[in-house]
Amino acid sequence: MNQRQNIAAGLFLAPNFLGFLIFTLLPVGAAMLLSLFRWDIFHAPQFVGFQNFVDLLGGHWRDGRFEWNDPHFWKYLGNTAFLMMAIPVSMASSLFLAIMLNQQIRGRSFFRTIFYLPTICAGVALLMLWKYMLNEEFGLVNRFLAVIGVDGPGWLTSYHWAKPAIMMVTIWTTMGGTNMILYLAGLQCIPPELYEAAEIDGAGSWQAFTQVTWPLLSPTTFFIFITSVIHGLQGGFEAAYIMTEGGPDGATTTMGYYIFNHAFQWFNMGYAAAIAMVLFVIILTVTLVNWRYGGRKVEYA
Amino acid sequence: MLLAVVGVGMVVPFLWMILTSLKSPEADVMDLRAVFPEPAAVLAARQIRQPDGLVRRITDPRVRSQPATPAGRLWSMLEEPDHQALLKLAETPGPLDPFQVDLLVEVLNTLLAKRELYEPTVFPVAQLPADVPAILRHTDGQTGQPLNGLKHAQVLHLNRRLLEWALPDYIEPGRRVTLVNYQRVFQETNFGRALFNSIVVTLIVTFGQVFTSSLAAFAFARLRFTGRDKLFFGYLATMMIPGSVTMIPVFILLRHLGWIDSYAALILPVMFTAYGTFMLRQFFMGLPTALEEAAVLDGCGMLRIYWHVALPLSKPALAALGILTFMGAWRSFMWPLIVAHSPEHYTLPVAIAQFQGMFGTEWTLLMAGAMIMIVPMLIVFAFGQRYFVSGIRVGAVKE
Repeated sequence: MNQRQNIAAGLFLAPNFLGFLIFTLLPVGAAMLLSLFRWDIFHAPQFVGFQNFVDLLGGHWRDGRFEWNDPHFWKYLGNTAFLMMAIPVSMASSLFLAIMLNQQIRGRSFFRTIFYLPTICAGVALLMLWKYMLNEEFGLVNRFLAVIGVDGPGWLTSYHWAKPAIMMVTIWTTMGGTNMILYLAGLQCIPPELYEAAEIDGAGSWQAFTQVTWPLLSPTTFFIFITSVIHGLQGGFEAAYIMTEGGPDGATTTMGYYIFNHAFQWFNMGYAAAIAMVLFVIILTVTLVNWRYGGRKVEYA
Repeated sequence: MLLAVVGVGMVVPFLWMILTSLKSPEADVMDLRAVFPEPAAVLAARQIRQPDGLVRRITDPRVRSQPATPAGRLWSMLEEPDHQALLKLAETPGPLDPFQVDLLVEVLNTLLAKRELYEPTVFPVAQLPADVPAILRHTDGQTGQPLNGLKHAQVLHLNRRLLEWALPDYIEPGRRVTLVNYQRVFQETNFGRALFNSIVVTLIVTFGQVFTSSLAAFAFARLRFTGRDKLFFGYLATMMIPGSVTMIPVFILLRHLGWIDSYAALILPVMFTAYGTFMLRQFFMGLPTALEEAAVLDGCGMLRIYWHVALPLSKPALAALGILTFMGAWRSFMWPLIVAHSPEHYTLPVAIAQFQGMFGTEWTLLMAGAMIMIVPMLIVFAFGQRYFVSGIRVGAVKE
């Protein structure tokens, strides 16, 4: 019986697993191997051991001062981290919208659909739209600001405003999206009796939120946070490519974009693989930390 | 109410996009093609139609004080005598006389001959169009005269692109409402082909993913086999691997196979996910086993159970996965960008991105293109909305 099940299972799994093997599992191993080489595809690969990692992460002394081997790496890592600050804001907005949508009002599903629009249309097209809207001269944002009498900055062409601009776009795009739907689902799972009990105990609406809503939503929050962080660490590519090409003087280059550049613009395959490996390790570490730390704080009803 | 405000905030950008895509492409400012209608390696006076507008643009104090913008950069690349010349021209009330136009032409020719114009590091804001360096290598940097072998059309292309690229904000959408942008999008570019590619690739990927994922999910959910849970855990673990890690080796593999720039490269690597398997497994496990047990009693093999029992029951989940996959594949950008090198194989997102290089400043065209990419997604979503929301819940709820 077991034998038959094994064979059957093998057949069922085969297509998916084969693809998984060829396009996910093996490539990971290959990438690890690749990071030990220097290869530009057109010539033969050269084995360099861990030199790529040294070039990436290490530093050296010059004239008595310490310098990083690849200062760009650290700068772009910082960019990525900075852009991830949009995550809590986006989560909070999603929660806020979900709470509002949870009430019984007319046109509820209408609003829900509208809020979800950016997520449906997400991608290159929307980024193009925002690039236009943030245009210094013709863009809607600056025109709107002009009405108030504020002189809008160059947004995507300005070194200081490029990152906030991208954060704005990110928040706008993700605010009413999947996270909001998840929060809505979570909210609807909270039994109303709890709120009634809280009211009887004399809790105001803020306390009702902190004592009832927030703790009971913590599994959802936890899930959303982890997935957002993982996503944020490797993302930012499309925004960088479409809107700023890495930003005025590298202000909006993220890790993902940096890897892309090294691999497909400058053909440093080995080095790019090394960066990707480092990114992978970062993601693993951060997720592990999140899991341990956050897992303890999550309450299950 | 607050909701209304946020709702407005959501919708307004879309309305803006629609409006712009419908606007006429004529500029209140200036259309560069009106300015430089004829090709020349070196500009001649008769080629500049509205010189006063051009001068105003370059000498605008707001613009030239910002070296970060291309126009500002342009300003900073000119020498002081040229600055004075341009400023003097700008002060001239009314149209320029032939003398002054000659002066302008001289200044512009100086600009066209400057090497920095062609350095991407000097102009970080806009990327040099890909074909320009190749053409430039045939041009004498000093005089701007083309060396032998440069075709008339190439020079036209070169001039137009250089100045468009250097002054990207030159073209402002006009006022009338028209559908001509949509027409132009299909006529002047390969967009129609890109649309076709997107549709085909997305459909195949969607079906492929749903099909293979459901098979695997069924196996994980219902069949008992050795190492089942460990294998599943392995699947889950891979969801954390960033795409950047796998894309490089897969690219190399495809290159080795000679599959770069083919439909196979666009479709195959994306057809397999762990996410779909995970989501459907959750769902399958939640199905009541009664029907399946009855089927077993009737003597059905596993395949039949899968096909006749499990699948029909799981239509909502399948539809949800299908829609998610469709939307993900439709807007997928990085991978097609990496593997599609010739315009025949571009998908929509890539085509739009390349658009920027060709029509960098024509927002009306760009918005029309963006609309074309968005509308199908809206349609698919409208159809599948019922399944969609419930599908996300299925995937996320913990057992």
